Amino acid sequence: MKKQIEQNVHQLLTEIWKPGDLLIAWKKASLPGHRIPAFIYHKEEIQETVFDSFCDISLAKYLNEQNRQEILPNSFQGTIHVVCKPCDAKSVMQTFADQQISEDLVSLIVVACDGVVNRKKIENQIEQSIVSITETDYQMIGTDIAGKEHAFEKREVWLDKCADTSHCELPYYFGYYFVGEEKEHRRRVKNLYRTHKKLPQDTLPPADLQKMIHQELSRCIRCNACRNICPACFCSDQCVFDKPKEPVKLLDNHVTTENNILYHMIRFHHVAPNCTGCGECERACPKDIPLHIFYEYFNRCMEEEFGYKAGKTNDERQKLLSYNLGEDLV
Amino acid sequence: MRKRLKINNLHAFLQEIQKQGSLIAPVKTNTEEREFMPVEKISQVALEGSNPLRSPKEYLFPQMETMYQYHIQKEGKATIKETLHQEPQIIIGIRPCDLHALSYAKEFYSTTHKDVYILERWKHTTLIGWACQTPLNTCFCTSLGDSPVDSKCADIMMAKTDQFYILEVLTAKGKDLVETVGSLLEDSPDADDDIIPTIRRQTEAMIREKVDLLSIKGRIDSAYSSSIWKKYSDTCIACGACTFNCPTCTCFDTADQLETCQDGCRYRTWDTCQNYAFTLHASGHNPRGTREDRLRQRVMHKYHYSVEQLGLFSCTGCGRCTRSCPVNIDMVSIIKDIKEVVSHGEE
Repeated sequence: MKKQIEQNVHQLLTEIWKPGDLLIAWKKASLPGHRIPAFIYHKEEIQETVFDSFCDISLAKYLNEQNRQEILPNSFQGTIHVVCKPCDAKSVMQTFADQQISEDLVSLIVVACDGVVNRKKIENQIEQSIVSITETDYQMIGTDIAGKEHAFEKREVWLDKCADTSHCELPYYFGYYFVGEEKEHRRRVKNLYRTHKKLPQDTLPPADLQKMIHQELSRCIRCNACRNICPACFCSDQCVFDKPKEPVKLLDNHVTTENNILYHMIRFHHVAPNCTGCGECERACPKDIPLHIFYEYFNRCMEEEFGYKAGKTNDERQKLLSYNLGEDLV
Repeated sequence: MRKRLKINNLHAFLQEIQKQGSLIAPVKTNTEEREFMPVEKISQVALEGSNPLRSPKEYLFPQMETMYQYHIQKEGKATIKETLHQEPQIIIGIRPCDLHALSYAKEFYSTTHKDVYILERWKHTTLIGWACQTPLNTCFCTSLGDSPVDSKCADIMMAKTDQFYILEVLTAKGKDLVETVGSLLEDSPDADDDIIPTIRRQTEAMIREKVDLLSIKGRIDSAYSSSIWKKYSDTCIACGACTFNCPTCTCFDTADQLETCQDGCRYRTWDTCQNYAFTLHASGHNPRGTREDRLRQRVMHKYHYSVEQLGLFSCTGCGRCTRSCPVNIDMVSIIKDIKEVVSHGEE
């Protein structure tokens, strides 16, 4: 299915391409199962881009102002075509809503997706180096160094977020191209929707929860991967954690469990109104800390308190930054 | 000197050496990963398997350590109490790439400045290496002229065969340790001579690719103004996961923590060159303002600046940067591009 979508994306792009445009999509890297962001300026190179079950990186991050400054040549005047999975499309919506990029600059291509692979799950199960990995309709087949084949049900090795199709909902926005069967996609999202996933916050008593959070966050090395990959984080060099000109730092570099908890609590409170639940922070974490227990909880609180879900549309004001006349004070 | 240890005796061997100091080994954690940790239960030790993501560097150069405590007296004089760690520790299961990294770190901390905190720890540490038989697909140690069985700065080098382990004792420190467990070990016959070369051959055949960097050692600065950096810095998100997992990254930042107006301590933490604030001047000028500059600095330091400074590559080919990168930047493709540019020039 994804092969067909890939071809359709190529076809669509060749039709809408104008000289001077930029395409942000995925391409193959030399290691098996690795897909890297591709920045393409020439029409002939469109064929190099791929879309398959390994395209886990969210490309929405590359649209914000700081990243554009780093990436785009000074003379750039064209349109940025960006290929997104439905979950990343929400991050793009939020980027529009936060006024990080003007909508006129972007042509958004949303592709139907039924899940992406968590490479770490495969590697942990094989416990050996993979030489190659291929996908069939329902399976992933990895070959290890000794030439032995390991087959996995795709379902077993998806990223955790792919089990909950509420992440796959399409945004309320008319300005995107959809590649794939839209009806089929909407039907799938509706039927498989699994809401109210049990989080530790629901099941554990407070003392155990505290213990668990302590245990998980004591492993944090504060490499900032979660912050820098987050499409909702765009304070760039003015971030509270490394604001250089501030005489007193909000949080010092002392890497202790207490400071790590403070770090993540500040971060998740700060991004709560823009967090679309794309799960990039958890994927990026080199220590595999289950960060979804925080952001999913915050997202749920936002929905219950304000009836607000980030990334639904392109122009909704952030609920924690806006106030309407006559509104109840919380 | 070479000794043999029966497979069944490993448990007893570890128990004996644990009596000599705190034992640090790859341990299976509850997240199914292996990590270098102080051993509580010997049964958790898992020497075999792929190299843990965190290197044993942190037991010689911890991410955060207190250097000294100070007390300011009324007359304006200060007394300083240094915190030196002198407890004996034994680290077991270190792969040759990490041994290479530790020997680089030792060279760095004793040449550029005498770092008492690290050198003191070093004096009380015994390193037991482990011949690598399970490389990952990110590994590239052969590209840097190393081999998967190098013993570099190890006190004892261990290798596993089907029936026993062989222990190559290399230093006086290693000899002292072996003497305490003498009854468990037997002499190794001459027939064991080719065990390590065989492991070397087998492991090298499993490593995915060899980009010979030794042939261009010392000339890599000619890639400085090349266009390859932009290609990688476009995707780079400048987080620092690569530097925090790198076994040879040696940068740190110091800061003070005050308890009262008179008492406090000075501590240091790892720092990363990928951070914007790393080179920011007080004037507001930043010589490495863009990501391209910072990515180039990291790579050039690994392959060129350290060669200029100490004559050594400060990359050991362990592949941890590739493993931890959230956007899959592959070090091997960077060094391939570097080699291309240095040997043939830009197209």
